[in-house]
Order: sequence, then C-alpha cells, then structure tokens
Amino acid sequence: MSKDLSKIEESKRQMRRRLAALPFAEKLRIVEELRERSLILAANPLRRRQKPRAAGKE
Amino acid sequence: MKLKQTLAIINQMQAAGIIGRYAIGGAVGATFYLEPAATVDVDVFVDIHAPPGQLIATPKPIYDYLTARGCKAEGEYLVIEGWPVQFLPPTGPLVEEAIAGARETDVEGERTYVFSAEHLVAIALQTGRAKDKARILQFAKAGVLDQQRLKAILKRHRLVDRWERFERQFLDGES
Repeated sequence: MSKDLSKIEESKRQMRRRLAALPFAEKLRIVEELRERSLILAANPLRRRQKPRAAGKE
Repeated sequence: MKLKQTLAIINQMQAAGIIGRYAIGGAVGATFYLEPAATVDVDVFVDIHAPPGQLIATPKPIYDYLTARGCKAEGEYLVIEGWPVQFLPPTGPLVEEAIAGARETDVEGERTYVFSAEHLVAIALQTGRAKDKARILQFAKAGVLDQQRLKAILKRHRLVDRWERFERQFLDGES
C-alpha cells in the first residue's frame, strides 16, 4: 500500500474509533439521521428503476 | 429521539407481560459497540412463550398490543414511533442464550437490552450472509471482542469450524 493510502486508511480507522467511542444515545441519534437521509434518497424519482432499453436502441 | 420512544413502548409491552426478555440485535445492536451504521429497521429478539394451554408460541399478542396503540403493520414489521421494528423469536439455542445474556443499558434514561458483542458475532457467523461477514470483520477490527468469551460461545454452539474458515478467509494476515 502506498504511503498516501496508508495515511487515508489510518485516518479512517481513527474516525471509526472516535465514532465508536460515542455514548450509545449519541450513536443512535446518528443512526436516525442516516436513516432520514436514506429515506430521502430512496424517495427521489431519479432513483426509480428504469426499464431496460431494447437491444440496438442505445 | 424517536428510537428512545420506540424503546419506551417496547418496555411498556414488556411491563404488561406481553413479551418476556428481549434484546436488540442487528445493525442497531452492533452500533452499541461499533461506529453508527445506516439501517432502516430495528431487530428485536424476544423470548416468546406459548400461552397457557397452547403448544405453539405466536407473535399475535405483540401484534394485537401494538396495533391497539396505533402502530401500523408493514410487511414483517410493526412501525413503532416511525421505526419499523421486526420482532424475532429465538431461532435456536444460540439466540436464546444471547437474549438471556443480553447487556442492560439505557438510552437517555430509557432502559434497554443489547446482545453482547460476542453473541452478535456468533449469530452473524451462524447467519452467514455477506453483510453478516462484513459486520464480523468490523467487530474483529474494532478490537471489542473478548476472545475467550467468543471462543466459548462458538464451541458451545458448534461454530468453531465455521469461525476457523472465516479467519482463514478474511482475517489471516490482519493485525
């Protein structure tokens, strides 16, 4: 792994550790926010599944 | 917080004798030990007993109790204070043990129970889907597991071979 990638990986590890160390209630508040975001994204009409294009019509 | 209210209603249901012991598993349970992860539902494992005079335990009392209080049923979920909750009976001795040994905690003063980290890992190993394996890796890397306790659980529930395969596949060479 290159030096830069190792640095990124280490910084992610630290972030995870910081988040994991939060009180349970605080983490649940984050879970709720993440869920709100997921629901907004899921409701976006742009995410609706498109019908597959017929062959040769691209 | 909505989840606190969800837990309050589950506790009321327990106090009313509708359910016995319960414990949170799944992503919300894992969040007790790890960094928060996105999830759309709450998995609540409940000790459901057959009513007096009957042989088969049924989740009907849970359904009746909650729908009488305005909760809606959506597929396999009951929506409590905006959160879809799936009530899961123990699927075997491992989950029964996990419920019995769940950790008591609280969320802003609301008492609740969460599976131990080691039981969450053992259950994920037993379930064996890709997302379960990913969660086991998170636990292993977070260093939150009591290895002795985990090994005892794996041995009791005949999961040692599966664990060794998992270790060879995903954990060899990890520091």
